[in-house]
This record gives sequence, structure tokens and C-alpha cells, in this order.
Amino acid sequence: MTAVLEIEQVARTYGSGHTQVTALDGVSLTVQAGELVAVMGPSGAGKSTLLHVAGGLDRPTSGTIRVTETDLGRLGRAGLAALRRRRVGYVFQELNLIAALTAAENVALPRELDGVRARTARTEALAALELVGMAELAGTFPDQLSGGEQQRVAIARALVGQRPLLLADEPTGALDTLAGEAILGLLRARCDAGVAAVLVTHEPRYAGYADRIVFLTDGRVVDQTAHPTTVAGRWS
Amino acid sequence: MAAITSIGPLARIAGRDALLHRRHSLLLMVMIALPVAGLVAGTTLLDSLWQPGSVWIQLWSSLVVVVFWTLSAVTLVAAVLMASAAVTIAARRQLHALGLLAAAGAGGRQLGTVVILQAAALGLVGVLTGIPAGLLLARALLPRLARAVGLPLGEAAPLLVVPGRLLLAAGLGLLAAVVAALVPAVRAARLPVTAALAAHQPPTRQPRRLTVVGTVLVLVGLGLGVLQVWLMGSRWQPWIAVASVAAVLVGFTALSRALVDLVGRSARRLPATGRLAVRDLARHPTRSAAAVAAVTAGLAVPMLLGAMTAQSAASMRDYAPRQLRTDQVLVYSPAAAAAVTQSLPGARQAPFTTATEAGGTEVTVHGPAIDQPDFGVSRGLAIGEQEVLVAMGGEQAAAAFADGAVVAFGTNLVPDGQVTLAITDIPRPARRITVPAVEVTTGSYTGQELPSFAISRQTAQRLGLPGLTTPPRYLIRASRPLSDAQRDQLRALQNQSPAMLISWAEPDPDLQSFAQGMRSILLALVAVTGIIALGSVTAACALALSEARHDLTTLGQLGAAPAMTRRLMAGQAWLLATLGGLLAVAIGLGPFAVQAIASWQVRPRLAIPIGPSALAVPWTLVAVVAVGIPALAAAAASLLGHSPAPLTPRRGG
Repeated sequence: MTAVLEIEQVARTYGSGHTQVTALDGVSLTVQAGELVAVMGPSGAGKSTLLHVAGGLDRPTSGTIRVTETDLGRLGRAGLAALRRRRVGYVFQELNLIAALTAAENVALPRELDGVRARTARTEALAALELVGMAELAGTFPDQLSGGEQQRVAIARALVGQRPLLLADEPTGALDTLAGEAILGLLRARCDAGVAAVLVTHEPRYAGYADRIVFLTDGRVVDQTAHPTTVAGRWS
Repeated sequence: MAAITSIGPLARIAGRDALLHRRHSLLLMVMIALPVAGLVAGTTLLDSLWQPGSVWIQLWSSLVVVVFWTLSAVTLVAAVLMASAAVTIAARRQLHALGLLAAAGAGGRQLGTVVILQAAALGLVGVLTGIPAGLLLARALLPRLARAVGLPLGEAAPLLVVPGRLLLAAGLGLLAAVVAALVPAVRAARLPVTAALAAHQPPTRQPRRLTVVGTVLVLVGLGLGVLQVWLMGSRWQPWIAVASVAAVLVGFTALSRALVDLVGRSARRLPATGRLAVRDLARHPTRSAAAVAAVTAGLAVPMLLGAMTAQSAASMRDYAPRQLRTDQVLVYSPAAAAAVTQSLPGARQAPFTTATEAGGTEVTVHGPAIDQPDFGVSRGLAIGEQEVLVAMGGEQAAAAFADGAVVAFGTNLVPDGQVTLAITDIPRPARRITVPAVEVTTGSYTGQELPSFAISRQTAQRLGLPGLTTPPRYLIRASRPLSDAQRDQLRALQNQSPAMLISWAEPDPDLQSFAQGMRSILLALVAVTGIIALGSVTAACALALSEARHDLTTLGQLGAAPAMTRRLMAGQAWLLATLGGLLAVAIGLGPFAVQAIASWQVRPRLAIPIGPSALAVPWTLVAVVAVGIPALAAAAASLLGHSPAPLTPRRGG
């Protein structure tokens, strides 16, 4: 198996002096290709911060992060941007669709930003929308879509372009149970196809789709060996 | 009574909200402070420079005053438009707070009052900042301007401050702030409480009525442009011309929102950055249409003046009677011709005779237009070879000249394509013959030195015209208009041999000084309106940036290059300034283009040489307005996007 994401002794603190807050404190985690890892923990445990530093959105205060063997600490702003375009698909808690672009244009955006021709990017975007069952609404603007439909578009945007790492921060927050299950099934299928994924969730039901569950508390990993079958009821 | 007693708390709420949204508040203050400063500086400078004895003031005062007040009006309109956009966006951000007020029992009028009070308070701060800034600007500029207009006031030139003018500027500034807040206040007053609490503003209706009004006004303006050609010479014509320009100006400005919408629809095929920039503009017409309208209104002023000056210069070229062109020299002997040709490198000489001899033999040219009284066309006929045609500036009529036509130098001299030659050839009886004629559009040659008509020597022989034996004259055409040094050389030649009789055209100093003054005024206009345009576009981009922070964060998260924000801002600014610039070009040239087209329809029916010439386009000005200023706007706006939006919230979860 190949390690897609390697996090070693990563710490992240905000502020200084008596206002200093430690969001991550010596976290280590490795995610292999084809593996779906669920990250669980109470609010303020550092789950979102972990995804931010793993995806190159934020820099750790200390420690090392490698994505497909590239040390993020050695990359500048432009290098991190290129990494996000080419190797990391991100599903945000707040969807973050751009209102001025149609569903297909939102999905094609990472590819177009990477210099892919608009026509090719659109073809890839339509294929990704097809995967999440949204191809028919490709030309629709986000404010004309329901919350669930917007979430599917956001997931399609993370899937487009064959990126090896998928980071999903509460991707089912806006969905009903049935739609949430469908989305998790989709993530699982991508991992079965070789993609490495990290899923932040509060829902033990959705963690059941993961190969492994990592528990975070106060910025520290308290357990990363748990198998989904053993956690039922632990955080519910 | 309740409304009066509630003013206190409403004012407090307005003040606190203004502090909460500092960026919009600052923008609104600047939008009011700038025109107030301009008004104060301008009126103070005009009052201080007003010296009855100054030649410059005597020559230019009326135009400068008209231009100044036009500019002031345009600046205030631009300020109202952009301030209105800032108030609208600030009110949108305050929706939740307004909703809470409404839920607590505030009526629609009270919600509107909060918005207006806020704008008035910020406007007052803008006025209080603008007045001293304007006085400081006037103090700094006065000595330089005094030197430029030739007033011996020195470095310590006294600044004449008229309190009435300061009050006027303050009043106009405050009025602009309140007017800017009217539409947002009405919208806030009509907002449903639930929508306000959810911070959701229902979309505004498409401004179809505005589009219709704009289209009708443009059509009416162009129609009036045609009408004034038909009424040429009537006392109503100048008023109809002014009404035509005004209707086109207001009409195109009203169409700016529809234009922004149209551009937004065409964004599908653009690359990602362009598409985002264009769609964002189209989705926020409040600020983008306001910026386009402000740019249009500003740049239309120099475009109109520039187009008018270009038409006037073209008319001068086409109609103004002249004896010789500035690149021609006329001499009466072969020796003089040789000496002059030698002193003008590249010059070519052409000998010609006139069909006039002492003793009464004469050929004169006639026709309905040529014989119009008071027009002063020289009815003489030059007889020569092809080179005389070239020397007279009629090379484009070479084929007709060789085929036996008379070439007429003027405008509308031969509307029916023929002239009548009246031949007095003593002792033979006088006779008249009609020959075909073509026209070379140029100012008519007047006086006796150079005829307005030319015919080839072969044709003259074929027609049996007299006068072929008179001593030839020589028309010399230089490769370019004569320079001062070359005219000095000719003067020296003339002084050396007074018998040589050399004639040339001296430049008209009044005309030169007028042209130079006009150029300076046009340049100042372009500079000031360019600043208005840049200010409006930058303000619109600053508002766009404040509204697009969330989208910019998303773009960064998806891997957009750090320079993306800069490119988006530059793209939006370029598009806004280009749309405004193109509308300004259309406003400047539209009425004159219609007038020119109409005049070509009317021209054949006119028996007298009158009416506008072909459309003269001031290309340099068009390039500055439609290319230069948009490029500057893009460069200025790209500075706004120098710091990319944060990629994550400040605290992790």
C-alpha cells in the first residue's frame, strides 16, 4: 500500500500568551491509498484544523505533512495552491459553491484553474456530476438548488480530476439520512477505486463506512485504531 | 410626533451601524468629500484668478466656466451613483439589524430613516473633510495656474475665499448624500420583517422600464440629430443640436444597467477568471451599473467636446476659404520658382496659365453654387499639366482631369457634375460652353492669386480656350506644411530680390492660439474626468471585494493562484471602464455620425456649400477613453487585490 497522506507530530496553535489556543498537539496520522479514515471527536477537538493543515489551507506550527510524498512545509503559496488543484479534493462544511457559476462550472473550476481547456474541464465536470446524480442540473446556479443538491455538487467538485486525496469536512451536514447514506456510499466507492479519504463527522452511522476511525480530543489523537464495528454508541 | 421622538434612538442606531461597517462608511465619506473638495477648489481658483485685465480670462472665461460647472455636475452625479451603491450594500449588510428593529415595532418609515440618517451623517463628515481639502488644493494650485494664464500674482497669490461658495458646496455635498440614500431607504422601508431577520433581500426586478426609456431617449436624440441637419441655418438648429446630445447622453447612461446584464449573459464562453469577473458584475448591478453610468457621464464630457472640436476642424478644412494652403508657394517667374524649389527639399513646381489676358480676353467658370453671392469663390480657371493638379492638392481627380473634366476645388460647387465656362475672346463674340466637372473637397480658393478651377492644357486646346500664351505662374507644393524657418527663408529670398513676387500662407496666430487653448482645456477635461472614472471604478471594485470575500476564500481553497484576486479585480475594473468608455464614445460620436450621414442625403439637394462634412473621429481621444483609461483602471484595481482572502477561519474547530 502507498501512503498518500502522512502527518507527523503536527501541532497548530493560534494566538500567543494567555490567549494562546492549541488546536492540534502532536498529531500523527497516515492514510494509505484506498483507505477511508473517519475523524471523530467533540466540538473544538481540532478536526477541521487537521483537515486544513492536511489540505494545505493552513500551515502547522510544527511537524511535517506529506501528500503523495511532497513535504508541504517546503512549498510556497503558489506551490500549495497547485497541490490543492492537482492532488487534494476538498468538501467543505459550508459547501462554498460560487453563486455566480453554474453547477457544472463550479465543478470544472479546479480543472480550469489548473489550465485545463474549458471544454475538457466541462466534460470532466459533467462526468463527476453524473457520478453524484446531478448531471441533469449541470446548468443550474447554486441558489436554485436545494441544500442536498448543493452538497452533491460540492462533492462532485472534490471528485473531479482524479485527485489521490479527498478531504471531507462534515459532508452530510445539510442532508437527510437517505441522501447522507448515498453520499457516503459514493465516498466509499471512490476509496475502493484507490483514492485516500479523510472524513470528519459527528455521526457514528456515517463513520461505519470508514476503514478506520481516529478520535481527537483537545487536539490530540486519543485512539486511531478503532474499527467502525467497535464504535457504535461510543459518540452517539 | 412619534416619528420626531424616535429620531434620537434611530440616530444612535444609525451611528453605531456606521461604525460597524467602517469600510462602506469610509467609502461613502470619500465619495462625498471628493466632489466637495473639487467644487471648493474650483470655485476658489476661479474667483482668485478672475482679473478683468487678463487676456486669457477674456478669451477663455466663458468656456472655462461652462466646462467647470459641467464637470461639477458630472462629479456630483458620479458621487451620487457610487454613494448610492455603497449605501445599498451597507443596508444589505445591516438587514438582520433592520429586521430586529422591525420585529421590535419599528415602522417602514423609521427603517428608511435609519438608512438616510446614516448617509446624512457620513455625508456631513465628508463635507467637513472636503472643504478644507479643497481650500488646501486651491492654495497649492493657485501660483501655478496664475503663471499658466499669465497673471503676475507671484508665489504668495492671494486666495479669494467666498463663504457663499463654501456653503453651496457643503449644501450640494449633503444633498448628494441624502439623494444617494433615497432608493436604499425606500427598499429598507418596504422589506418584509421575516426576510430582513433572515438577512435575505428579495431580488430586485429587471429594470425593463429603464431600458425602454434609455432606448427611446437614444433614438429621440439621434432623430433630433437628423432633424437639425434639415433645419441648418434656422435659429432653432443650435437648440435642437443641444437637445440631441442631451437625449443621447441621458439615454445611454440609462442603458448602462441593461448593458451590464447583456455582458453577463455572454460570459459563458470566457475563461474561468473572466467568467467570474463578468458574472459577478452582472449579479450586482447596483454597483456595476452605477460605476458604468458614472464613467459614461464623466468621459462623455471630453468626448463631446473632442468630437465637436474635430468636426469644427474638419469643417474649417472643408469650407474655410483660403488663398493658398500652408504647403503651397506661388511665384511668377522661372528664376523665383527655381530658387524656392531649391530652398524647400522635396518640393515640386508646376507651371500654369490662367485664361485671362490683358485686353479683355477671359474665361470664367459659372454654376448655381459658384455664382452664389457673398461666397467669394475665385472663378478663374488654371490651365496646366497633371502636376498643377497635384500642386493644388487634387491628385484624386487625376483621371477625370485627363478625360477633359474641369476640377473644382471647394465643397458643393458642382452638385450637378458640370460647370459653364463663360468665354470673352475679343474680337470674337462672347460664348458659353458647358463641360463636365468633378469636385475635390477642400476649402475654396479665393481672391485672384490662385483659381478655384483647373483644366488640362489638352482639354483647353480642344475647347479652343484663349489665354494659352500668357506668361506662366508656378505653383510649388512642399512635401509638408512650411515651417517657421522655411517661411523665414522665403522672406529672405523676397527681400533679396523684391521683383521675384513670392506668395505663401502665413499661419493665423489667433487660430493657433485658439487651437492650443482648446487642446489644453481638452487635456484638463480628460485628466479630471479620467480621475472621476478611475475613482468610480475603484470604488465599485472595493465594494465588489468586500462582497466577494467568501467566494475568494473558496477560490483559494480550490487552488487558485494567489494572484487570482488581483486578476479578478483588474478584470472587473477593465470591463466597467471599457463599457463606460465605449458608451461615452457612442455619446460623443453618435449625434455627429447621424448628422454626417443625414448631411450626405441632404447635400445633393443643397445649392449652396453648407452642412457638416464627413464624420471626423478624434482617434487619439477615442483611444484614451476606450483603451487608456480602462487600462489604468485595471492597474489601479489590481492593487486592491494585493492581499489574498484568508483560506481558513481564524480559529480551527
